Amino acid sequence: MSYRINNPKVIHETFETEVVIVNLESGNYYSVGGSGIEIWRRLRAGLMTPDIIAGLGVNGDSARITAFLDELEREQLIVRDETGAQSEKLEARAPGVPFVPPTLEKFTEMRDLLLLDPIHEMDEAGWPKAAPARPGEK
Amino acid sequence: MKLRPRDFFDAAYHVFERARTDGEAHAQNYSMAGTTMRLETASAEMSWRLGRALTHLVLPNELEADFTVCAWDATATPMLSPPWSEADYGARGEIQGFNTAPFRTAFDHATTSFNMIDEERRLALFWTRNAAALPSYAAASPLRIILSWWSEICDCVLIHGGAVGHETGGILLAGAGGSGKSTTALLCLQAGWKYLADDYCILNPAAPFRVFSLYNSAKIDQQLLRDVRPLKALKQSKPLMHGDKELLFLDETHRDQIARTADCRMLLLPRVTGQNQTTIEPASPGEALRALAPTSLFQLAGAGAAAFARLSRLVQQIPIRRLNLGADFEHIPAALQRCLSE
Repeated sequence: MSYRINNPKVIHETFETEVVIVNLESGNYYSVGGSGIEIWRRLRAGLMTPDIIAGLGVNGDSARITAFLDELEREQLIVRDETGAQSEKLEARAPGVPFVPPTLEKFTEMRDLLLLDPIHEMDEAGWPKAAPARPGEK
Repeated sequence: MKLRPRDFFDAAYHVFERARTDGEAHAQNYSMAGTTMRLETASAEMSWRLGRALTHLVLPNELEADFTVCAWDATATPMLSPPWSEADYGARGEIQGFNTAPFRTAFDHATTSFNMIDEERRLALFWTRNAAALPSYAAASPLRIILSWWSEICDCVLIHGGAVGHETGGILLAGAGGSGKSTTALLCLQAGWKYLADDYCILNPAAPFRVFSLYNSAKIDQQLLRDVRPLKALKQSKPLMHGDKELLFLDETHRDQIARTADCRMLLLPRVTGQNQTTIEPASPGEALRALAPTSLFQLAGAGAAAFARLSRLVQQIPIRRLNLGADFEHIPAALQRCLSE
């Protein structure tokens, strides 16, 4: 099975010690750490799940990687890709680099800025009336 | 048949022209991220509401404008009905089917305003039912959606962040609401620094980074104005309120200290700690992007990959520090100055 990043709803940036991911649709954003950074790189490259696991050289921890991929999918950060297209080759990971359990930290406080359930009362001309004030607004 | 974006834009522009003829036409040029923006309105009320936070950016009207914003309300001239349906409103107000180049369209539910730009003609439309009924915070940060679109056209990005300037350089303050951006910016103002923003500014993310002031307004908790000694002088007798916060229009009281632009030498991530002493420590680019990008992107219709890429570029190149704000308010500007001198 392979996955692809859920573009264009999901935007992301990979740093040395963290991947920052924003889901523009849900309003949530995330910080990926540990070996999740390498897994994300491999997802970006379009690798199949067995290749992601093999590339990390951690067969004993494959369940953790699979669980991490499931979590990314549940958060709609990645979606299943039936095309199986592999967009770029990745070098095998350098031997001796330890596997660190992948982490996904989720931040939800921005959801308030979105109108996720837009129920608008319309005026006679068809324009929305004022939305209920957000906390702190008047 | 559903109108195309161009047809609706043109029809709405004709409504503006009619409103301007029927009403009281006003026009004023402003400096906007190094370009000239012309604001044309159909009433004095609209000019006042949209222009009060921009007075520090006024330019002579003889200058040729790089883009024009037309603003009016329906108090005298009825507006067209929208050609889209309720289902076409996105989570950030963007209108599905009306955001194909060169057009961008959004309805801002907070200010109940229609915003549309034609990027080719460099012409934008802002309409609301009644300018006099715009909420107070709309006067503090007017035209934010249109200005974010214009920023992108200028290869800049409108960010949710404050900015202050010192003779040794400018500092960008990034963080969500309540992180201490306004407190820090106003403490610096009171310590003699240049003030550019407490909440929104425009950034050119290409090195050397440049920050542009957008609004001369500031929002500050009333309790801080009462309790923090350097801020007490900012207290107004008849303040305009936004929830528990007072709205200040600093060009009316601190004209010499409002700067239009500054070199941006550092990005600080303020947060209120509850400790006595203010401390500054290194922070990572990832932490900075988390502090800066979501809060900027989710407030602006249509902001997405391009703005995110620009912010990513910034945090990978600029020095970043975490600013742990303590209760020693009077020492905070000196801490920032030391940071710039490192």
